[in-house]
Amino acid sequence: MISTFTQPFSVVLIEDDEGHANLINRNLQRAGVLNPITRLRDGHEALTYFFGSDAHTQPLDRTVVVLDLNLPDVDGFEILGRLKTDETTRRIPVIVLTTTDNPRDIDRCYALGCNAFMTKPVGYNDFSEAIQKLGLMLTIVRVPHTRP
Amino acid sequence: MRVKTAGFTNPDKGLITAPQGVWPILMKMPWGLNVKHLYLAFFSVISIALCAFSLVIYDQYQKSQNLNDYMRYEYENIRRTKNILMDIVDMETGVRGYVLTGDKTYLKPYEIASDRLPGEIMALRQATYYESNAFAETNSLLDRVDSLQKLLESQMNYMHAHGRGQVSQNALSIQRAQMDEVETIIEASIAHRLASVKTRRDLVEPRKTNFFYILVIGTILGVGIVLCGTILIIRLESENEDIRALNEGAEARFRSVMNGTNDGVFELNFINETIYMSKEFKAMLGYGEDELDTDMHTFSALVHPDDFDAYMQVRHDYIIKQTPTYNNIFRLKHKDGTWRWMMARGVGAWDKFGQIRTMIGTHTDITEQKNREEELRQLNNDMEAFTYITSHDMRSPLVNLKGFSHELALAVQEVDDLLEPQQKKLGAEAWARLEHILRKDIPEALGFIGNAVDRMDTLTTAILDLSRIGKFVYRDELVDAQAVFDKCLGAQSYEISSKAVEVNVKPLPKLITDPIALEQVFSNLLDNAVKYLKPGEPGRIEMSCQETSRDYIFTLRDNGRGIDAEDSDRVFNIFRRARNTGDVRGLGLGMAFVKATLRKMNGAIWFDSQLGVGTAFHVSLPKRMPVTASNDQTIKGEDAA
Repeated sequence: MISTFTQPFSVVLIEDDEGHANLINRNLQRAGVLNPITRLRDGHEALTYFFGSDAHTQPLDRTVVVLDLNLPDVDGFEILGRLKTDETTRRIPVIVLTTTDNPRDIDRCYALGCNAFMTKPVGYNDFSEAIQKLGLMLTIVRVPHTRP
Repeated sequence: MRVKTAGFTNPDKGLITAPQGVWPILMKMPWGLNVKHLYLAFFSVISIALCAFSLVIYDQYQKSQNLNDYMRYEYENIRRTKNILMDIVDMETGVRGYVLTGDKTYLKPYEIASDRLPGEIMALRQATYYESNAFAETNSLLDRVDSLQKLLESQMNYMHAHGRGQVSQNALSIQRAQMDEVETIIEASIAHRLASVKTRRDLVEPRKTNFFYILVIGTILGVGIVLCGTILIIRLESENEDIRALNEGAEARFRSVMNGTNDGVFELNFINETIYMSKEFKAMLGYGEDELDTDMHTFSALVHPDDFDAYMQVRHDYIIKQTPTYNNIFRLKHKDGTWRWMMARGVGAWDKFGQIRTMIGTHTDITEQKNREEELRQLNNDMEAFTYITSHDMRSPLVNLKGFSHELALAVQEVDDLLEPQQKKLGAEAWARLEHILRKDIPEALGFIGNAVDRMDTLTTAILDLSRIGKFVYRDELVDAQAVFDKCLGAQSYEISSKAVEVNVKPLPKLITDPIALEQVFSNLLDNAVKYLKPGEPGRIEMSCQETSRDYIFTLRDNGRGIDAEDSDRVFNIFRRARNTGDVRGLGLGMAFVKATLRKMNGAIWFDSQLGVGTAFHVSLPKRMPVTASNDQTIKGEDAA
């Protein structure tokens, strides 16, 4: 079994689907990622979290963002774009995790500056494997200090 | 001379070349000669002949005039000579009368003649001075007349002195001799002159007959030429009439077609920058026949501002012969302020310096088509977006279904693990029920859910694939169909060898198409052929290609189970399969995919099949020129520009 990982960074999960969020949570925990996971339900909430008036009280450094593209209000591309153009959030690693496997969407995400793109497989085994790999990746990733 | 042909209505050349069609034989004349040159040559020959004829006539006239002049001259001389003789005779008679009678009245004629004589002789000498012998003649005549005069004067003086009848015999005989001499000279002169006139006339006389023949021949020629010309003119005129009748017929047909199609006719004149617009042309834009002036800019002002640059560009490209045909689509302002989509087509006329002179063509109102096209595109976009979004959004719930049914399975496993040690407490009956639920019912239910989700996932993926055909960018290049088919065979070699299928591939061509799309088409067809072979019979598959003037037709023939005629419509429908395919797994997507792909490749697919015997699928793909060639052309064109 993978040893529990307790590096001091938090995961921000931007995902509108309750079930998906739940499954990601469970599988991340199974993968041994016990870091605090902040769940944001839609694009608006995500933008408020990063760019709202009280954004600077949030511990933005040592954060990894897991982003879904199909959000009901502000779509994932816009959030990705905002995150990667804003000086305060530019260095936060963003992992896109979505149902799309359209090459155009993938290209677009990389063009916007995402750090990794993962497709949510429908098969449960594939899905949990993918999430657990994400967890593994999170355990070895070195998160930059976004604020000096 | 010329054969009238049906070339007039030659559909390739159209109406413009019609008159040339009437001269098919002359059109084949070498050195670029045409009928005009022939006529010119013909008429110049006739003109030269006429001139020559006139010259001959004038020459004859001149000659007979000369003869006339000469005769008049000679007769005048003869008359003068005779006058001289008469005068001399008068003189002699007068003197003799006087000598015999002594009557002075007899001297009157002598005096008159003697006064007149020197003048007459001088006149004769003047007239004939250039004739050397005549000069001598007149001189000797003068001498003789002089001596005779002297003789007569001496006789008269003698008469005055001695009176009447005293003239000696001797003097009379001298006088006689002198008179004879004068007469002889004059007679000789007259005879000489008459002889000369006769010689002249004899010389000219045969010419008169020649002249007559020339006249006759000339007249016949002239009449013949006039006859020929008249016949020619009548012929030409009747041919012209025929052509005119044909032209009028063609024009009438053209008009009725133009009226029937409601197309407007225009003619752009680039020399004076005017435009002719037909009645229909103006009516299309809501204007009356007498509205809109012929200034080219009046028309240009009607073009939609957004389309103006493109409109001018397309026109310009045609004018500088960068594009072979003129086909321009743009909006024009209707009188009521709305915009109408127009399709303009036309042909230009250039002068020998390559400068455009005119362009004549038609305008077709395609507003309705354009609207429908727009509607269709919108619908298509909507549909694509719909399939795209649906297939993605449908996956999200699937992830949940699958994920949580697995979570459920894990939970059930956990419950099972927890309950198992308690089975004695629960009692055998309750445990049996629990065991049935936990180990059979729930896993079975989860299994059904799982299968349904898998199927749903496959279907959404398929829909997504189909919707992507429309977005796929086709890149045409030279593709070796043989290599592509071999690749497909390689990909399915396991199936083929395990079923021991005999595959026979005839030579396949190289063609211009998209390699990936071609591979998809071939691989789907091959997959189907292998999949639907008759169970328990050795399979045979044959791939071949036929070439027509426009297409390549690939045929994949198998000895499989065949397709029921009842199913022929279903084969290419999405999610539909033939009824005799139940034992083979499949979604009914392959052929729908192939058909959609081929439509994008400008190809087609059809099949013929006999149930239980086999099926042949035919795929046609158009022959194309290599894309690079047209690229070169545009590059050249740009260089030229």
